[in-house]
Amino acid sequence: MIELLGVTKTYQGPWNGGSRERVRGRDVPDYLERKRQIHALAGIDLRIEQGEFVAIMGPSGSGKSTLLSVIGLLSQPTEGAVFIDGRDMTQLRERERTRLRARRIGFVFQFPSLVNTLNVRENVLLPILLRGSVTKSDRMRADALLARVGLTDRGEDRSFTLSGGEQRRVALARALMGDPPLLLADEPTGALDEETAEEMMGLFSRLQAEGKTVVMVTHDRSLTRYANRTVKIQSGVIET
Amino acid sequence: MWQRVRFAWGNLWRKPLRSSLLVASTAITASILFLSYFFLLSVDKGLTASQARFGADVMVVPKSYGAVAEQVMISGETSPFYMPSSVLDKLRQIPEVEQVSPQLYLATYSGVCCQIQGDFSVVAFDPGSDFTLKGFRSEVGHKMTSDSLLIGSEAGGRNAIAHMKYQAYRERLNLFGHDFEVAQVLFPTGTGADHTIFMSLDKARTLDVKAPPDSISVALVKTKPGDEEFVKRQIERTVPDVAAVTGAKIRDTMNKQLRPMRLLSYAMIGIVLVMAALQAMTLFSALVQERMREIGMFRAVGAGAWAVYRLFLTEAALAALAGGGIGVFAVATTLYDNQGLLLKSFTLPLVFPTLASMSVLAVSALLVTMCIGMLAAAVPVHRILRRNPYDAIREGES
Ligand SMILES: Nc1ncnc2c1ncn2[C@@H]1O[C@H](COP(=O)(O)OP(=O)(O)OP(=O)(O)O)[C@@H](O)[C@H]1O
Ligand SMILES: [Mg+2]
Repeated sequence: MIELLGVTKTYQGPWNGGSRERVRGRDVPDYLERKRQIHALAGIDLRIEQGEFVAIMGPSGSGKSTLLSVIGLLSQPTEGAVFIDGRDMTQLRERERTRLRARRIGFVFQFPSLVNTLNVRENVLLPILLRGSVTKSDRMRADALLARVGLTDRGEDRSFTLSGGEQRRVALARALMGDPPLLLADEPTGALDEETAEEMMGLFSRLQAEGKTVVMVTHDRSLTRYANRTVKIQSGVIET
Repeated sequence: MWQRVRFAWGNLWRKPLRSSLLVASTAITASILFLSYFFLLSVDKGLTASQARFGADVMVVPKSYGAVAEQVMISGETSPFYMPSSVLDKLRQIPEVEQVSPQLYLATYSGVCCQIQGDFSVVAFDPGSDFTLKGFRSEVGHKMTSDSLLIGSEAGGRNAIAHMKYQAYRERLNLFGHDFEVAQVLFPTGTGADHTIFMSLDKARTLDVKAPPDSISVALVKTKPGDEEFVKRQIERTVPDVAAVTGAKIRDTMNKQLRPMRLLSYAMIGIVLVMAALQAMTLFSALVQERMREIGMFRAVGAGAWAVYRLFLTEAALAALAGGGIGVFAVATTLYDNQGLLLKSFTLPLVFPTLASMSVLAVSALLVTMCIGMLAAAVPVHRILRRNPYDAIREGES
C-alpha cells in the first residue's frame, strides 16, 4: 500500500539550475527568493492499494514523471510524506531507500535507458552485476524474462542494435529482474505501434494478476481500460 | 569480480579517443615518476658509494705520509708507500672500529686494457673485508676469483660494461707474468679508483711484486657512527708509526653541495604529481559528468553509492594501470637496455638500483598513478551521488 500525503515538488527557476534541496535549510538570499519557482507537484494526495493497476494521465509537463519518481524513491519531495506499507520514506536514510529500490521497486523509464556496451542479457542483469556477481541461475532468469517480453534468443545481441520498442521491452525485463512487488512504468508504450502496445498492456495485466502493483504513466486514453483506475493530473495537482 | 572488471573495461572503451588520451597521460605521469625516482635513487646510491670510497670513515697510512694522507683520501688513489700488515690487527682491537680493509699498491701498468691505452695503478684489495668498492661494482659480469680483475671505468671499464652481460665476453690481461681475466667493472667514482686495476690481495701475495712482503699501503676503517674523531685519536695513540685522517669533513661538504639539487628533484616530482592529478581530474570530471544520467539510472535499478563508486573506481584504476604499466615498462626496459650508454654520458657517480629495487620502484609508481586516477574519479562521482537519482537522470539527459 502506497500513500502520498501533501506531496509537493518545487524546482528553482533557470537561474541557479540546481535542485531545491541545495537551497533548503540555509539562509536563502533575497534574490533567490524572488526567483520563479516551478511547482512540478503541488500538494498531491494519492493512495494506491496493493495489487492495483493505476494509470496516470495528464498533459505534457503536468508532473507525471515527477510523481512517478517520487513514488519510486528516485527523488525526495520538497514537502509532504510518502508512505509505503506504513513507513514514511522521506524520513529514511539514503542507504535504506537504495535497499528498497533494489528489492521492492522496478522502474521503466520514459527514455532509452540501456547500457550500450553490454549485450541485451547483461542489461537485464545490470542490477545484479552492479551489486554483486551474476550466477548461472540469474542468467537463466534473465533469459526467461526476455522470453516473457517476447525477445527470445536476443540475449547475445548488443543492446544498441535493438529497435526503440525492443529496447523498451528489455528495460521492462530489467525492471522485473529483482521480482519487485511494485512496478512503475513511465510511458512504456511511448514509441510502440498499437499492436505491440496492446501486447505490453497484456503483459502488465498478467503481472498484476500475479499480485504486483502497477503504476503506469500514459498519454493513450485507450490503454487506460487495462487499469483499475485512472488518476488525472494537471499542473501538479490531481483532478477529481 | 571479473564480470565487473570486464564491464568497467568495456565502459572505458566506449569513448576510445578520450580513454586513449587518459591512458597516455597516465603513462606519462607514471614514467616521469619512475624516471625521476630512478635517477634520484641512482645518484643517491652513487653518492653513498662515493662517500664510502672517499675514505671510509678513517684512513690509516704510514706515519711519514701523514702530510699527504688527506690528499690521498680525497683522490682515492692508493700510492706506493708501505706499512706492515700487523697494523690491521691493532686496528681491529679498537672497540669502536667496525670494519677494516687493506689495500696494497703494486705497480703502475702502462699498456692497453680493454682498448684503452694509459697508465693504470694496479692495486690489491681484500674482497672479503672490502666495503669501499662494494657499492660501485656493476651487477653484470663474472664471479670474482683470485684470477680475476676489477677495473675502474677509465681503465677500460667504460668499454667493457656494455659487453659484460654476455657470458662469452672474456677480456684478458697479463700482469706480473700471470694471466688475469676482467671479471667486473666499477661504476665511475670520480676518484683515482677510476684509473685503477684491482686484484685480490691473496693473489698479489703469490706474485713477484715490488711491494715488501706482508705489507699494506693503506687501511680503510669504518667506525661506529659519530666515533670518527675518537677513533682517529685512538689510532694515533695506540698504533705506532701510522697517521690517520677522517672522512667526515669531506662528506659534510659533499652533502651540503648536493642538498639543493636533491630538494629540487623532490620538488619536481611533487609538481609532476600535482599536475598529473589536476589533469586526471579534469579528464575524469568531464567523463563522469557526461555519464550523470547513467549514474542516476544505476541508482534507480537499486545500485547503492558504494556500487557506483566501485564501478567508476575500477574504471579509473584500469585506465591508470594500463597507462602506468605501459609507461613504466617502456622506461624500465629502455633504461635497463642502455645502462652502458647512460654511464658513458653521465659524469656523476651513478650506481644503478638492483632489479629488485627497480621492481619496487615500478610498482610504487604504478600504485601512485592508480591512486591519483581513483581520487580523480571519486570526486565527480561523489558530487553526482549527492543529488536525487531522478535529478541526475534528468539533468544528464541532454
Ligand atoms: N530538474 C528540474 N528543474 C526544473 N524544472 C523541472 C525539473 N524537472 C521537472 N521540471 C518541471 O516540472 C514540470 C513537470 O515535469 P514532468 O517531467 O514531471 O512532466 P510530465 O508530465 O512527465 O511531462 P511529459 O508528459 O512531457 O513527460 C515541468 O514543467 C518541468 O519543466
Ligand atoms: Mg514525463
